[in-house]
Amino acid sequence: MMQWVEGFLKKHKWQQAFDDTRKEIPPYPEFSVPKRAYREVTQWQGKEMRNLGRCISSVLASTLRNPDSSQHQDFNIALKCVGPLVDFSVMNQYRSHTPDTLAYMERYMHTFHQMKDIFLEFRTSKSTRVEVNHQDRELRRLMVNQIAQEAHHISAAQRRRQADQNRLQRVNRRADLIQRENHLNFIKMHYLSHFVSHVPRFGSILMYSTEMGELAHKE
Amino acid sequence: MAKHACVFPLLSAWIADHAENAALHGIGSKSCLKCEVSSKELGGNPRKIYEARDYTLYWEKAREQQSGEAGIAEYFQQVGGKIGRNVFTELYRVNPADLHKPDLLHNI
Repeated sequence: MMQWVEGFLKKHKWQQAFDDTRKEIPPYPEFSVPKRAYREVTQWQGKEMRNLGRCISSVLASTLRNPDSSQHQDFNIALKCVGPLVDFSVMNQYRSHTPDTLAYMERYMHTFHQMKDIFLEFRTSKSTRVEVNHQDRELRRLMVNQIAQEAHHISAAQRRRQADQNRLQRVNRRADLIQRENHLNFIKMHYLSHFVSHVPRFGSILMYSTEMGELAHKE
Repeated sequence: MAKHACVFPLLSAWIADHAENAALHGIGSKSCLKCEVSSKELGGNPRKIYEARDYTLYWEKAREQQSGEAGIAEYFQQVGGKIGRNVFTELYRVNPADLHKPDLLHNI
């Protein structure tokens, strides 16, 4: 999820604001104040992830509090997507559950799925990127040829206008291709749907985390 | 007279990440170990219920293939499985589909 959020912040040029907000968080019992900016952390440990999970909703809400008119809708949906996923993740760490907490978890999951497409454009695979770049190069070549053929018949102002239109067409086509090829069909996304049904049968999810095993790799 | 306690251990969980579990279950890396959701629906509606995996049936199908039955490879392709016995099949009172557990560290 954080890769999507990072991509989202990068697109809207709010990464620095996110880092600044995160650094402002005061200490709190059982919460470690982050020492490094988000972008400086290369390898996340379980404890750091949990810490981030505890504050990400509020940090993001604070970061995105002053959108301009073009960003308003996107920011709103992004917050509505991240919030339920974080709530879901926090509730997963409960040591015991009631039917109410399970109902909450299911509702959070449902809301997250309804809103998750806002991050779809940040799920571009390497093969999609290669294909999109290839098609973009082809289109550009065609456009350059077309302009070269028409160069003698049109004025400089018309050529500039044509070049602007072509550029816009390429950007739109690129966005369309990415939107069409990207998807959120990956196994981790699906496993979340089994979490709620797991609890009544086998108990708290926290008991089964691989974190204990991973500690063996720690130096 | 000495008393003897009879202990019958049952395997109830195999806590590992998806890649390891998929290899042990004989399932493709883009398939769920618990249900037969298609790889194109992994990000779909979380409320939709899919057929649970029946590893005993898979084992029987693999045996049928060994005896020359046709169409088994297509069946496994359809359910996202690999032909070959799941390492947990035949363990006493173990349902291999229940061995995989949610993994907070790697999942969220």
